[in-house]
Amino acid sequence: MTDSCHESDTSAQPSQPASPDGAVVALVGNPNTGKTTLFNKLTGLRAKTANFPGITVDLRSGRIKLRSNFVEMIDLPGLYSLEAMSPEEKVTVNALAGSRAQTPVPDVVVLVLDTTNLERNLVLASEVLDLRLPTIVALNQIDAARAADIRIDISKLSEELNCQVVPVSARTGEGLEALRGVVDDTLFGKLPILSQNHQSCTVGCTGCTFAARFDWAERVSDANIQVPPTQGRRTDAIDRILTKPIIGVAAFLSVMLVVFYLIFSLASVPMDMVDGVFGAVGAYAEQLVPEESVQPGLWFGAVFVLSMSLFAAGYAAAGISWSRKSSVAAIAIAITVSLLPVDDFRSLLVDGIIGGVGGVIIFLPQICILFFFISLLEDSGYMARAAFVMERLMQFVGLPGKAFVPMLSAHACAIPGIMAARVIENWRDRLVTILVLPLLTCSARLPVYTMIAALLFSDSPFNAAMVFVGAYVLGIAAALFSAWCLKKTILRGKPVPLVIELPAYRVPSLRNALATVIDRGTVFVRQAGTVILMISVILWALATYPKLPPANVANVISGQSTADEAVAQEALAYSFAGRAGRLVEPIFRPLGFDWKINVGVLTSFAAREVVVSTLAIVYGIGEDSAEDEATLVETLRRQTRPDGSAVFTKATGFSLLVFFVLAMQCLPTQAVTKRETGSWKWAVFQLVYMSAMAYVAALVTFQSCTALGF
Amino acid sequence: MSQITLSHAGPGTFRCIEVTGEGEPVVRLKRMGICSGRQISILQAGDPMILRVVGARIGLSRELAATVVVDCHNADTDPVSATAGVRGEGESRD
Repeated sequence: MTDSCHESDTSAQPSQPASPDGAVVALVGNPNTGKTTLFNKLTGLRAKTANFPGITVDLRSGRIKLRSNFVEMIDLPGLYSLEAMSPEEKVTVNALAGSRAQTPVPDVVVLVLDTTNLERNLVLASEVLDLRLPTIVALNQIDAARAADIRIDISKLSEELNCQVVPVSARTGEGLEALRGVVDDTLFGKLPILSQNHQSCTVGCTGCTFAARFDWAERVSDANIQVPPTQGRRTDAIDRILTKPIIGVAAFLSVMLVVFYLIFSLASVPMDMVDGVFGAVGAYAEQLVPEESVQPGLWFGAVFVLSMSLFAAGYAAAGISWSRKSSVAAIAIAITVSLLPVDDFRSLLVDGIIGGVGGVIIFLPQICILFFFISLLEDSGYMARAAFVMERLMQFVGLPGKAFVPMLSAHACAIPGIMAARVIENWRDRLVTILVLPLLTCSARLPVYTMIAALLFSDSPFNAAMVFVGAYVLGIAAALFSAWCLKKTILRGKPVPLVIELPAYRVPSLRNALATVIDRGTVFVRQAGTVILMISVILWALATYPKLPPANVANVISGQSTADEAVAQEALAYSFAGRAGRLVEPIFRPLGFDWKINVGVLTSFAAREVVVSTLAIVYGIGEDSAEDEATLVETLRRQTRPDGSAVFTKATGFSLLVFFVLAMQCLPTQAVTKRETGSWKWAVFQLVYMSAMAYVAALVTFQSCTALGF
Repeated sequence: MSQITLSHAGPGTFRCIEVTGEGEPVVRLKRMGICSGRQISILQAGDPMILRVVGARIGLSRELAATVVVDCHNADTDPVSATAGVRGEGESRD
């Protein structure tokens, strides 16, 4: 299809422009109708996620080109009926009713119906047509319907529904030009808005309103469409295998195993690249910053402008407006940064900012690949089967089968897991799932596990492997147990019994997968990225100030051969972070942690893997040596307590491991929890309950290990 | 008996008479087409079971299936004998 007709009347504006700039076209339809494919095709990949204030649901919107101008198109979440159940469905209903200021009543509704299953789709159609909004019906998957020998009388259907009906195929692009034309005509008054007077259920219907709508749908469908009896045989045949209780679960686990293998193997190359690039940029920046500021005025100006542009970028990404408060904060911080001594500025730039951004971007490949596969699996129709077969197992902890996919995703990173929890319709179940997801072993914990496993059992690879297995099992058990407890206590509620559509299997769309990757990746960088950047700068400041007095530096250097490492060690001990580690020593002593481990625990709130490099600094072997596992482990082994006993006994190691499995040490995750639940309340709750659980479990571990003589 | 709940039925085709009970789960059932007047086929019995309703496959928990009253008059197969082949543990629940 070419868009050859768009040049016809650029000079002559439409006769009755119904506010062409602000016009909004809404896409509405059942789930699994190919609505999002149609949206992606119409908007290209330029659509963006609009995060409306007060709604935790993302709406994707984009500009679509009509004959002579662009209008805004919103992809409203799919739903079966205007009797909404999930938060997403409520957004659609509210948007159609115009009951929220952020989403005004759409100027045109494009109702997407799946031609291969028209009768079912007509139920929602009857409800939407009852709203009496200017509506166009897009009969999607017309190509698939034709291939399945489904015959349909379009003009008769159009007459029956009393609105324009356009057959389209989002997959092949067929009919999209016609659809744009009809939208244009409807928006700009060339087509009369028909009064929808189909059979309605507002009067005289007692009892089940759905029954009346289904009766109507059946009548309209029977009169206008002929479906051969072979429809759906192929899907039935596949389902006979994939939905069996045992084979189905085994098949699902195999699929996810392959996906995870691909995530970890495919992501390693871009992750190494990200690591390399940020390392190189850091080294370059380190050289670029002069040894001394030659011209203080110029220096101040340059750094101030740099800081302010960073704030502008950060505010834009996180969606913070330039209010008086936020402007003052930005300017004050920019001035402070500009006044920093050159050495401190260099350290802030290299360790705080570049290191911090690198720490976010490194997880991006995994997250993108994960969402790519999730999108493919969802598009193919398989995810519904996965939820179906997992239902019975998940019911034991009171969660729906759909909670299983977020739980698996969280094994790569809790953030995509929390974002994937939207598939769970029931709000309470979704909340429970989000709250327990960070207990599952994410990839940021792996460097920590590696270090502890080497520390505990460097002589026995088998035992070291068992440490990993144990940590994974502990995470899963803790998540399931916490979910069960939450469902029994503060989020009490009967498990929502399963009703799920198992859509026909389809070849998934790469374009949709790509759109999902771009969309989710952007959300991750914006939300987690800005928070991580802020946290890493704060943690940098805590670990840097107050500075070690010059006299102490001289003292340290005189007595040591490895001067730089020793200075770094003393400087960290002297800083706020070091002091905080000492301050909380009485609290963490029963867990077997000394103040140096406490510093590691505190700094790992930005990202868990940071604990490894912190321990390297705090034990005086330098940050760079953290990469060299043997050196680090050897050094850690040699550490003693004031009374001469070793710090890293088996008991301390196990206690530290248990603590890192269970503790909520990831502020970026907290930011995403806040985003998805709509309030800091649940993020704080997550932090408190997980920390408490981690503390108690580590305490029990250390005390019982000590008692047993490890 | 000519009426039976879906949870007690085996593979076959039935006409739905009514859905008892109310609340969110029941609305979710009805909007999927499991409501009075529709023809329901059981494709795979068990918990959860798979139905065909209004051209779509629906996965449904046995707990909810117990609220769906169907007429077994038009059934392709005899539901009582078919039930014997289904796992029996859901039988006591009602």
